[in-house]
Amino acid sequence: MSSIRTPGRPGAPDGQGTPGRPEAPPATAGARAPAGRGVDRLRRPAAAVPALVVAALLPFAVPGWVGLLVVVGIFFLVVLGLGLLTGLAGQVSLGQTLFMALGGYGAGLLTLRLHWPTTLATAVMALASALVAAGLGTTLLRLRGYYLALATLGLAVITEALASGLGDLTGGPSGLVAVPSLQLGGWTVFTDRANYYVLLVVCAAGAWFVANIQRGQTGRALTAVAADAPAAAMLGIDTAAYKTRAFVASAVFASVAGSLYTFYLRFISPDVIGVTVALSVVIMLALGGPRTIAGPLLGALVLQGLPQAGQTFSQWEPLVAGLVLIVVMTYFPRGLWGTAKALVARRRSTS
Amino acid sequence: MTDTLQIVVSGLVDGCVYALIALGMTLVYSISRVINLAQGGFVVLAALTAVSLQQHTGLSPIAVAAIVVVVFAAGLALVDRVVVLPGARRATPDRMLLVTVGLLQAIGGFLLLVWGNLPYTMRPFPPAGTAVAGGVRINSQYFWIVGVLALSVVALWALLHRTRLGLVMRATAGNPEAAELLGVNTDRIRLIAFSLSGAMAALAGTTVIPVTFLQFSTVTPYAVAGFVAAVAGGLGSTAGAVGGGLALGLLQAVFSRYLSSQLAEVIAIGALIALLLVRPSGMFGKVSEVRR
Repeated sequence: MSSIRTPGRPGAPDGQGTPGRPEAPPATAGARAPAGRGVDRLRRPAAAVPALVVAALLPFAVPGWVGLLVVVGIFFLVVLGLGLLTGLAGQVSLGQTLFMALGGYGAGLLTLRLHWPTTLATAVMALASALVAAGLGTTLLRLRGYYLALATLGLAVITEALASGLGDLTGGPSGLVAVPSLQLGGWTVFTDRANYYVLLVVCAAGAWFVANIQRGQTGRALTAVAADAPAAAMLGIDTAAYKTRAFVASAVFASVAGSLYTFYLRFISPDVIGVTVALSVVIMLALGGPRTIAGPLLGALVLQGLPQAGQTFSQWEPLVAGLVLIVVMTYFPRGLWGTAKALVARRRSTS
Repeated sequence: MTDTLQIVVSGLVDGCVYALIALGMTLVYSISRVINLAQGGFVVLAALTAVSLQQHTGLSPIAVAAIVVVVFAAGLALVDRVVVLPGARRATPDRMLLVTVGLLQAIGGFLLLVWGNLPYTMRPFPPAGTAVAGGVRINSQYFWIVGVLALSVVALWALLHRTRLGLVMRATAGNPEAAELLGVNTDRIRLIAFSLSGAMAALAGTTVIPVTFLQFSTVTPYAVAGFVAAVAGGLGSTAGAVGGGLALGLLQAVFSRYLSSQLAEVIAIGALIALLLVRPSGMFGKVSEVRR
């Protein structure tokens, strides 16, 4: 996770700069990602189009599984956002459910009690989550390693406790019910399939955003922060600001996902944003592989798909998920997707 | 007044359990630099094992507890060899934390498979009964819980500061490389630390199960409470683990008297996060640990 990649040229690393600024990768960088960046940039859009076509046709191929795909899409969004913070900037957050809850409960309450339009409620809560993250980020992200993990885990615990404790507002343990469906113009997004297509668009936009960050200058600055924060600071990177920005972005992703989840389920309860969920989001990222787009998708698919694999299997799911996590974390540091990619790359270079 | 005392007593008893979990985590951390979140899982696993053993053999709960302690002391050494050591050799601390999260999940899953989703409790240790002192009702089991914590602390202190093995352990905790150069088999020291933490998890689980209900889903709260106590106290500090555990239990109990139990949890954990922000190394920790 902390492979140190020397930035090709440390010129003007502060300021956001143009994300896709063409910059010659160092020729000596070996077979690792930086050398392949130029090729990737040509190949990526070409790979994205068939992937989108397959995704668009998927509900027709597996009609019985659309509900699962919706949930996978929601968690894909959360994990994509977390990938910016944990995968790129190297800051562990076990508390993403705080922002899922803000988005979920906030949008639910605004539409249910105040009869706001659903899209407006989603946008307002995304903004609110960004503000909360900016406020928390400057203080919490000063902590490091285990201490940051603890503080963010605390956020997750507090979130679950507040959701069931503030009964008057949140409906307590039984949750907030009868939330309306998402409304886009005059279109009510009610069915699984409609929700799936909305999520497809949102996820594609999110993936595009994250891919640009990853390849752009911001991504390299974040990578530098993750690899060696003091060294990054010496290069003129404002580490605190970059960490906070990544935290804010991850919060917006989680908040939007939370809102969409609530509108899809048409209720939200403490179970939906519990500590277990907070942990499983982190697991999805680690399992699939950070620093990629397909990794989070694979992670969400595996972890959400496992319990659906059969009634008898759902009993085994926590045990299997735990064991898989141990094995992947120990032996496959790049996650399932990263490992698969490395294998393919090695085969190609030897043949 | 009695009301307040009653709250303090039950809060401190909860705190003793958290302290035992944190003590195991801290001990393992100081030797291996691994935070074992699964410690909370082992507590519940030990408790439910004790319940089943007690039901099937009809042995006295004390005998059952003794058996479980021995089994878990050996079991955690095995867990270190099979799961934690291979992970620690390859993974960074962040990923190591996730390895133990995986272990925690796997234990929860195992509990769900074997014991189902029902809560369990066990017969109290003899002599069973309730004492009343100054209007405060004290379950006899409370004495066992407090006693076990006291015994663990004293035994650990004696081991670390009064024996040659303890000296070696402290040397390993202080500087593993230097200890290794002097001929210390650090892997063996790790095994001892994990064994001790396993024994402490078993002690916590078997003594607390008679006064509470445990099930597969209680692994996470215990893991979180132990982690909070260990970090708030200052990682690697024995006094900190005990202080952190007792403080957490007390805060939760006091606030749940005046607010709901959920809001009490919020305030207790919020207070400890605030403590971390003011004193990033915890109550008794060294600042250098945080600035790694």
